[in-house]
Amino acid sequence: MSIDPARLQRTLQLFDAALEQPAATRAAWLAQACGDDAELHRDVAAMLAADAGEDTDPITPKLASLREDSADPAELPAGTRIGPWNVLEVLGRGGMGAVYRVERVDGAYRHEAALKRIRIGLDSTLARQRFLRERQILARLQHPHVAGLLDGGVDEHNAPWFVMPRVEGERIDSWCDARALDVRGRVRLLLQVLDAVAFAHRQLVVHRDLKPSNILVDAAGHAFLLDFGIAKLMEDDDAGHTRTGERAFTPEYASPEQLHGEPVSTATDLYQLGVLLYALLAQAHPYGLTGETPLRTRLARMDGDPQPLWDAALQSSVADAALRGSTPAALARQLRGDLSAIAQRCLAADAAQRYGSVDALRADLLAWLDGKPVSARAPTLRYRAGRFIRRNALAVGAGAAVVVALCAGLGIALWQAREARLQAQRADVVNDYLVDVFRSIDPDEGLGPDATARQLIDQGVARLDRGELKAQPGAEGKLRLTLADSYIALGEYPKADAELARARSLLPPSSVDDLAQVHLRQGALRLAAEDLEGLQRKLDDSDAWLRVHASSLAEPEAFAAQLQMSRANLLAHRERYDEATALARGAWQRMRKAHGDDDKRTRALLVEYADILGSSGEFDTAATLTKAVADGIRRTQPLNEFALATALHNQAVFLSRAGKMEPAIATEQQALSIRRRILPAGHPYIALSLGELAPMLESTARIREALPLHEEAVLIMRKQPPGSEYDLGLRINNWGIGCYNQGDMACAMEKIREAIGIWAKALPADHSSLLTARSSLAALYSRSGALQQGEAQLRQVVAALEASNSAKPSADSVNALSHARSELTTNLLNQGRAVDALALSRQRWRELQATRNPGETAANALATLALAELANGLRQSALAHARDALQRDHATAPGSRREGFALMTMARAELACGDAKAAATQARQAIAMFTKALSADHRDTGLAHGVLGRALLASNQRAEARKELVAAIAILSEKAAWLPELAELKRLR
Amino acid sequence: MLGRPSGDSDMNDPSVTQWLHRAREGNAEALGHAYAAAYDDLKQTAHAQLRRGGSGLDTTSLVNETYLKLARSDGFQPEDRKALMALSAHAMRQVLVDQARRQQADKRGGGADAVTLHTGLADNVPALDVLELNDLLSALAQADPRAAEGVELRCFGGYTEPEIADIQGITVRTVQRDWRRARAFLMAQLGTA
Repeated sequence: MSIDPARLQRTLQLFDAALEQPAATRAAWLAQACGDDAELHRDVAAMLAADAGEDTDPITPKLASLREDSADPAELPAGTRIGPWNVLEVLGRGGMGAVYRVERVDGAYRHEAALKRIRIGLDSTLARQRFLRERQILARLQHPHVAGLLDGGVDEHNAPWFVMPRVEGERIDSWCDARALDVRGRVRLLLQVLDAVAFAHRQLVVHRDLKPSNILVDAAGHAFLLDFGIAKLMEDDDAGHTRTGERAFTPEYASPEQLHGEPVSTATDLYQLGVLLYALLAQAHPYGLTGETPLRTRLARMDGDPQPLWDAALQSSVADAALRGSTPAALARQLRGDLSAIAQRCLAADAAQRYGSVDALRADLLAWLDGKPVSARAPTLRYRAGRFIRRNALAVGAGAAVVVALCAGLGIALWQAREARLQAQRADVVNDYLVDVFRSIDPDEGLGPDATARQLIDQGVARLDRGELKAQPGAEGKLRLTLADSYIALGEYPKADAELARARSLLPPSSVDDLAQVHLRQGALRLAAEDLEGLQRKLDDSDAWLRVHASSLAEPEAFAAQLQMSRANLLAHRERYDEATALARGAWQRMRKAHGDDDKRTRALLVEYADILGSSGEFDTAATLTKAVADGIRRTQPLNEFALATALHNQAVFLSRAGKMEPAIATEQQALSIRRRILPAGHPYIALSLGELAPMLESTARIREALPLHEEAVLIMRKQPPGSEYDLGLRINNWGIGCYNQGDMACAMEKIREAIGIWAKALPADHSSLLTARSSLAALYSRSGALQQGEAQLRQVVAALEASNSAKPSADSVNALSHARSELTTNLLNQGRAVDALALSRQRWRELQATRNPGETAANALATLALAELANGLRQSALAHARDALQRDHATAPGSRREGFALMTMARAELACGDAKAAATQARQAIAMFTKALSADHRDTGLAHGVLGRALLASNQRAEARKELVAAIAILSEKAAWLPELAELKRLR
Repeated sequence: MLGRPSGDSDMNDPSVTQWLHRAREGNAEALGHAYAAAYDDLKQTAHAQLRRGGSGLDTTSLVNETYLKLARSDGFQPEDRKALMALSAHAMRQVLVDQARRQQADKRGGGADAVTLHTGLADNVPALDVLELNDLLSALAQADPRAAEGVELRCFGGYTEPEIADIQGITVRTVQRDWRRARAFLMAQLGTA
């Protein structure tokens, strides 16, 4: 048929026009419009007639019927012959085809078999040959847990089919539910599945479609994997490339790489096993997906982190939990920790992060069953030292950094960074600046000599709000920007935000440099408010802005560098420390290159870089860099001693975290002496240095020197205006710890109770500092003999810490949890509950090992573990762990009480292993250390005497032994009469 | 309106995503290449869908599949999805036409492989209708390209009127007028065949 386009156009136009005519006159109108052209008239009339007919779409149904005609039959009728097999009945239907019960036509195979036919055409000879070759490989997959391939081929519709022995069994999930199999049982069952998958992987076959319906379990509890490698067969085209659109997987079980059409490997099976774990153990999906979840949602959710396994269990229904022999809460407890970590590791979005092999997964599950440590790591728990440094690099003059150390609970060092909301009463520079600013508006207006900075700024804003600079929006914008800066210096962030917003709207687009500053400050505020989402948006916005305006900026590199550092901060807050440190370093280098080392901004970035390093646990490097900052400040004229003191203080903190106590102490003392000199007495920054120095001294052997520092620090903080409750509580708490280290239990309990009182009013209930203090108090209860009370307290604290640690792991919560467990362990040991104590101390050690830089708490954990092992008769292990602890303590805090404790533990272990002489030596050393670091009649000294006594007894030096025992009993009867060990010693005497 | 891909894409062409990238950088021709490459993907998928039968030709999943791959590349914009949708409808049409031609050839005894069709509606000869429809649409496209595309999107793509309006950048009202016109033409022509 050939239709002239021009004529057709005319026809169509006339049709449209005709429709606009009233129906009555249409025909006449048409006749006239067409004139002599009869064909035209005929065509249009035909169209009008067709239009007047039914208002249907005649075309689509025709297409539909065509589709059906060409389609493969969905189900074959009974009696159909496929290869040497006869179809008997349909067993089930899947998306890709049906499964039939079949028998061999010639009776060669006696048993029941199942035939699965896939409605995919293998159109070419090449494809068919490939398929048949692959089938050979699959047929060789003979394994007790793999439903073997008996036969296979391609039928006349080019549809491939497979035959496997009929497995009489239920799907694995139904099977488990029908028997209400508990978690252990399910894990054991899964081990069979893992066996099969591991075997297949060794043959280089990937399953790709591991889901419950592909795993059947028979009545005897024997599992069979179906459809091995079949998914692969169907996905590849002639050249072996994966076809698009031929997705042969089940969407909920699809791994990220499958969804994105990326290459699939054995790691894909691992992912699916992870999803299977969730289904079997918690009746949940790691991303909450179902078969119906739309693709977009699926992709979006899988971009984030999966829900932890135990959390999914916690949210399961009572019925589902009962099917696992438990309740939702108990199930969650059971799944928390190792199993959750194992499942998580299977699900890593990056295939390289998953288990390297199914064997590794298997090993971990076996380890879990046996109660042994597993290798799966929790998401890397670094020391979240928090924000060491307040982002005040933008504020005018008011120094750059504040670091706060919390040392609470028996040797713990918890680092908590927070904003120091201090009235910048001595921020002279701010005042001066502001005074100038206001002078420039109205020279005659003055606020008097006592006006505080805050008052000045508020006044300034008020005047602008009244419209003083209405006629000059640009100037007003710039001024508001300055005022925002001042608010930032004062810690009034919401007000700063408001001024920034106004500044942005007032500044003309040509004031690019000012606008750049607005961007930076807005980002800094988001960070200060811990609004990470907001910061992300802000940074994206700023990046876009930069792209447009880079060429107009006076200093585009500086701006870009600062933006980059903001991004680094964002990453650090998200605990992606590797990326953060790399980016931060780059940002600093960038600024350095553009403006040199001595530029204030370069220094500020260096400070931030060091901060991020500190957050990620790289204390040594952070300390070195901060020293460079201090050196730089020293070089600058005029010397800014305030900034120098701050830099020294930070350096000291990093040094102490890195375990270099002596240099740390020396540096902090430098900072303190500067501060005493240049700041008014009673300035909180002095308390800061004091509060830092004291724990440093305590962690070496200088406990007595530390006490007066605590006292003075607390005195200063009590005089601070409202808003400093956190710091006050901190100082009091730390003082309490100082008391404890001295052996003054009463003072310790009193102080820590006071700290808790202050904090409970000012902080959320699960704030780590508060929990740590409670933990300390609980420990104090235990140590004074109220063992069960202590245990109860401690369990509460442990539970609260576990919850907050799982929700948001951080160095703080890991540390706090570790020490709470340590206390609990000691408590349990003292109650004689050795098995519980062992389980707990093992768990603590495992979790600490997962952090990259466990630092000083590792030694303590090891020592406690050793004690628990001793109580359970695991002597060799105890000895090894005690030795390890001793090495660590000796390296980081020689001569301290901690080393003494490690020595004493070592002595106990030696004694238990039969080496009385070595035990005696160590015990003597411990006594010496305790005497020096604490006192001759400290409880710990007494304990050490006791150990020595026992060691001497064992080497038959009775007289000597008696002397020691007597000494021990004397001390302990006075200091810790409730200790069970005392009774033991008495008996020995 | 889209430019139609012309002919088969060269096997040595860079990938779809690479073309898209170049298109983003202002290389308009690259966009055409991108679509050509995507078009082949779409056709393959459409073929597969056809064979599987079941719910039949489903442009949504077609588009999703390809979108997945493309969305992973930088520079894939939301507008590209619309272009993909239009392209998928075209691909569908092509596939059905190919199918119909094959059926026709078989019935006349041509074709190397004897493809056994499901016996059933042997008396109905829908195959012819598709080919005729195809020719008519091509003819219509010469005179009223937008309306022809509308038919393609509606009948082969299965898109709704709002979706068609979105893809073509017109109002729903206009979509309806176009359809009215096209339908009248097609029915008039098919009726007389």
